[in-house]
Amino acid sequence: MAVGKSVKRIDAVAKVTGRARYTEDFFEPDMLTAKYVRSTIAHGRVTAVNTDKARQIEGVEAVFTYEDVPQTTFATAGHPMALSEVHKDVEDRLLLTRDVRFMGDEIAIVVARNELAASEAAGLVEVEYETYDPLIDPEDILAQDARPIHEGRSNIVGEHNYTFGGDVDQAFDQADHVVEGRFATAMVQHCQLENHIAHAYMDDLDKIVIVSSTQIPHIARRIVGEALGMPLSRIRVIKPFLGGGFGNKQDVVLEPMVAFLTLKLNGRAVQINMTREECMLCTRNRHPFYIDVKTGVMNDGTLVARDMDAISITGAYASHGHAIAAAGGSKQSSLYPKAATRFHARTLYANIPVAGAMRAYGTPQVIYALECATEDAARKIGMDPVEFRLKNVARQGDINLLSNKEILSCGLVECLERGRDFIDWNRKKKDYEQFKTGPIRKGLGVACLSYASGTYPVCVEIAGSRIALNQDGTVHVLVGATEIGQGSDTVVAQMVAQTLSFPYEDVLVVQAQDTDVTPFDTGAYASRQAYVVSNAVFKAANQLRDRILAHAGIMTDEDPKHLDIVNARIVDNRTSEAVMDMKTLAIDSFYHKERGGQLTAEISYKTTTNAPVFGCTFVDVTVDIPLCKITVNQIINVHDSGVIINPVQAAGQVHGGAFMGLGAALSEEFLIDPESGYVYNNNLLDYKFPTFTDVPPLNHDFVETFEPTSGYGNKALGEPPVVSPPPAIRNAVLDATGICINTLPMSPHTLFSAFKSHGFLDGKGGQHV
Amino acid sequence: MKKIISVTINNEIYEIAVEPNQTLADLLRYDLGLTGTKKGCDTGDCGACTVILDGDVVNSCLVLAIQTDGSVVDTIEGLATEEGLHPIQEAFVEKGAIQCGYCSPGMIMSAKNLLDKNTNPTEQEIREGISGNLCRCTGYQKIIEAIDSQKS
Amino acid sequence: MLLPRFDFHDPASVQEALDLKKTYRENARILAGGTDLLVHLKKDLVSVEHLISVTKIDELLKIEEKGGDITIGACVTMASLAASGLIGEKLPALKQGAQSLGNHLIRNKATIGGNACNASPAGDTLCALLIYDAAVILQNSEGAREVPVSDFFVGPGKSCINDDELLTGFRIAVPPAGSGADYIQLGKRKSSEINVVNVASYIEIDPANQNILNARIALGSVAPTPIRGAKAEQVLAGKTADDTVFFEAAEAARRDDCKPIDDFRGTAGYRQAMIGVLTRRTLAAALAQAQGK
Repeated sequence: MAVGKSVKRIDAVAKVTGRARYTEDFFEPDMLTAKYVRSTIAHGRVTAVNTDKARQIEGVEAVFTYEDVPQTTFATAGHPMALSEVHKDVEDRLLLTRDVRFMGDEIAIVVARNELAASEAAGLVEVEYETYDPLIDPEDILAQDARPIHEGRSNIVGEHNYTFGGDVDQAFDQADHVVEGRFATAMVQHCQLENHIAHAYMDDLDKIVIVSSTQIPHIARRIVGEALGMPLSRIRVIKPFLGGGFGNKQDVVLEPMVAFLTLKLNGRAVQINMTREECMLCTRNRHPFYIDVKTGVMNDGTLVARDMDAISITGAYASHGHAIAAAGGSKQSSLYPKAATRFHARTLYANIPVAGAMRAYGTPQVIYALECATEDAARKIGMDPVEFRLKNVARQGDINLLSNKEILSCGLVECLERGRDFIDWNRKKKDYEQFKTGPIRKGLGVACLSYASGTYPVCVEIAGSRIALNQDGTVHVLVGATEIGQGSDTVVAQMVAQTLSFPYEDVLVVQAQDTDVTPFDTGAYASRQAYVVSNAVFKAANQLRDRILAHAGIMTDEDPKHLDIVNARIVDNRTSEAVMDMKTLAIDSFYHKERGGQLTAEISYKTTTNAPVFGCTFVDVTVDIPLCKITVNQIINVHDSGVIINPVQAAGQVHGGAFMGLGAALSEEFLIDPESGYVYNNNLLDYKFPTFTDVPPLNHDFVETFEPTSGYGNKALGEPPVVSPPPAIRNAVLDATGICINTLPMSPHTLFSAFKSHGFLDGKGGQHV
Repeated sequence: MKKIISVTINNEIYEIAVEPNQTLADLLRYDLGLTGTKKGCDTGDCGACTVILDGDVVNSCLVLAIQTDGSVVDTIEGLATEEGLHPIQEAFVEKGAIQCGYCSPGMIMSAKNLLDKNTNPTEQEIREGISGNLCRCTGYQKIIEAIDSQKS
Repeated sequence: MLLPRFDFHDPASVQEALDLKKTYRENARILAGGTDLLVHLKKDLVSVEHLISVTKIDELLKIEEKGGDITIGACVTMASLAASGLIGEKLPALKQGAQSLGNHLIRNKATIGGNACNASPAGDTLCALLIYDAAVILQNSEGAREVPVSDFFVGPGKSCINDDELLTGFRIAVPPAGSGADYIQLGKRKSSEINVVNVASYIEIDPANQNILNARIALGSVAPTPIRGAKAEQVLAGKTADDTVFFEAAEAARRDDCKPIDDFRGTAGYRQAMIGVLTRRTLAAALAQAQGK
């Protein structure tokens, strides 16, 4: 049984030995380097650009400006093509732009024989601007007379409204209490260790080959075609090992440009290798949100009404745009399915860096506000926050009133119970009563989450799998599912091994993605990969199993229904005796002159379900009031993600997500100058993602349910763990101090302002210095 | 102007001409093809390019190649032998300390150097002893467990 | 990110280094650990034609105790300082500073001379150098001079070192028995950080009556250079060491001694408040040490 076992990652040895080759480890002969010329203002229009000096630098092969690129706008979001207008991505991007929309916008590009010449020449391109006031604050962006950041378009990229669960206003009217809160979250970044990088060249058949660090090879192929007005079949995208993405590479950032450059330069290889500073400033990051929440609650603890009004800032370009707010808002219907709920969101352009997809896609912002508001409601009626949630959260059999689908698997109640036990909630609640005054305070916090397994019904969910029996009795598997470090190749191998009854070691998943070779799949995002691929793999593996048994039947002159595969042997299921090994069968199928053939199976499958997943975080914190510092003493994430295919890898996803949540809760934010739009900290020294010394030991647990819509009972896991730590920590700080910190991150500076305004730092009697 | 240096890398002596402005990381990656050493920032903030230089771990992006004349450099490629993986590599595989793998070579070099110098580190010493290696995937948890499993 | 082109020099002695400095003058820069200079060169924040590496000069790598003084060579790394038993025992706040700088990788390269020459108000060893009243040793081809570290820093990134001089080391008088020192730095992270505020305190007490014989306080990141907390020190002079007087000193440090500014790393108000907290906490820890606790 391979599913449920912590087998070793397929690629672990390649990675620990340094043999795993990432995009930057591939060298083409005479590869050229390209460097962008980026705007030094946040909002304006280029009035003149002079490239003469740049062209004179030795080694410079070409300089292109906004005048030289195709003038068709395209969308960069890594979504499947939408056949309906409603879900179509916003086409607002050109390869290079004359209209400057954030500091770092791409005006021109220099191609040179080496990086030094390219950088030097890029610095010598002279640009003159007509400057406009940067629009950064939502109020300014929404002002009647605000300049449209994209000419001819509203500064509101998207807006929508939905209600479920009955008449919301009436529910508020009937509520015993109405609790209100206003919340804000910062722009944070993925900071995947491998920066964005891609190169392209034209092969012998004049096809454009793009080697890129992308989560979405097949989508990138389509978008490059759209951006360059070129048939998709002329474009081939290869994804080698990938050094992390977290959504930042679920966007087409460099691929159209390298393809454009190789086209212009007679097929010579051209690479763009972003610096960390560029990657942080000019790729994607997480939308900052401003959210007002109103919660209606009864004295008995019943949550009856909820109203959320959100503003999401997408920055200079739409990228994933309004889809983020819409997706984030939709998660509450599976978390608290019984309350009458209204959600209204608007997504705005702004003259700041571009927000796009990032781990959990709008949900961390929405659930943060939701779970803070839930806490405040529980406190309002004096009910224990865990009990309050236990009373109101989803249970198996509830109907998600937004999708009108039944929740077929749900272990959230048990998640809460296990988390409560782990953190020793009841005992510590009492013990910490003595730490509610003085300089050092202690508290406990909890927050829940729900998430989805993929994007259906908003987007198509398609996955492909091809499995072929090798001559030595092993199988090769091709999937379009994209390994980005999350471990999907390993999980696919486990699934195939399970269904074929092969040893895990005999299942070889082809590592690199190549759109000319691998079956169609839209890529790694939305925690969809293992869920959506599971059905394709399950069906393909069963098909191959049938073909293997059919061939065994021919070879043995037996009815295949009496045969079975057990641990890669053909077994007579009446006697349990082995009939032959897989290699014998394979050799016969390949080389017998009259019968057989290469035994393969291929499935392309569309998933038309979307299983909700659940989880929660419990934390124990200490707050040093004078130092304005939060220390997380203990943290656990408990998740219901259906059947856990690989416990160790799954734990890794939970730890990684909780860690990212801790960063967003306590220290991570883009520091953007509110006047100029300048970003102060686009490097790994000044952007504070936690180091080894900043995180406590991370704990995890799983409540395993069986999700019937999935090939192996599994549901989404990659993104959810990032969602609940920030509200859990905020709730614990509230527990410790009595103060609601409703802004992320809860950095020392945020705490300083809050504590100061509450008179905590007055130093009366000196105890607080 | 290029200068010829003599540097021992993974027990092999290289006589090689380097430019003064070339970093050790670039020498390893682009001249010698030792691409296991990764670059995540090029400014000494991430640790992906960690190598052991004369017994101490350093960011190879902040060492000039020319400064390594006469030095001994160990990179990730030199760790495994014909007998197999180094125990610390084995531990990273076994404990699930690998995800995207981009930080792993540098992380492993730091972990090895830490254990070479302190065979029995506490959890705190492990955290501080490899604090310059950033990882965005794992939350560091499994990495700590892997290193902890190699204490003597 | 590539380095610009430059010539590289690798002198084996101080004299050779000084000769190179004399030849190339303002076109040359000294390269020690390189953890700041190489980054600044890559980011095109400074320019240079000649880099003079001094890390292979043996006499700059020594830590020695002689005649009541400890001398520390300019190229001693943070890792070596932190690992030195002598420093740990006699100059514990300097050890703390060295241990707090950057992270384990940076500490293996960054040097104490480099930290001083960078003259950052936030520099991790600088507060300790101030409270130990270190002398900076500067050499040119004529000879050596010593400058009190409190006079060495002139402004952000600026020191009083002359074009023809090389910082070769530091001389610190071994603190007497009955003294203690402590250092705390604050940032958003515990490592790989640039301090938002940092404080070191030194205290010497009369064991008979707990009277303060000598107290020095250094404040980082709250002025153009690391500074001494003169007003706070005045508050302590001659008083009996206890929490009340430490609180008053902390108030003086916060109110009168520091002149922080707002920048993206922190607001002036936050820095100022933290100066109070850290002054009090470092004094308490220094006292405990002085009392042998």
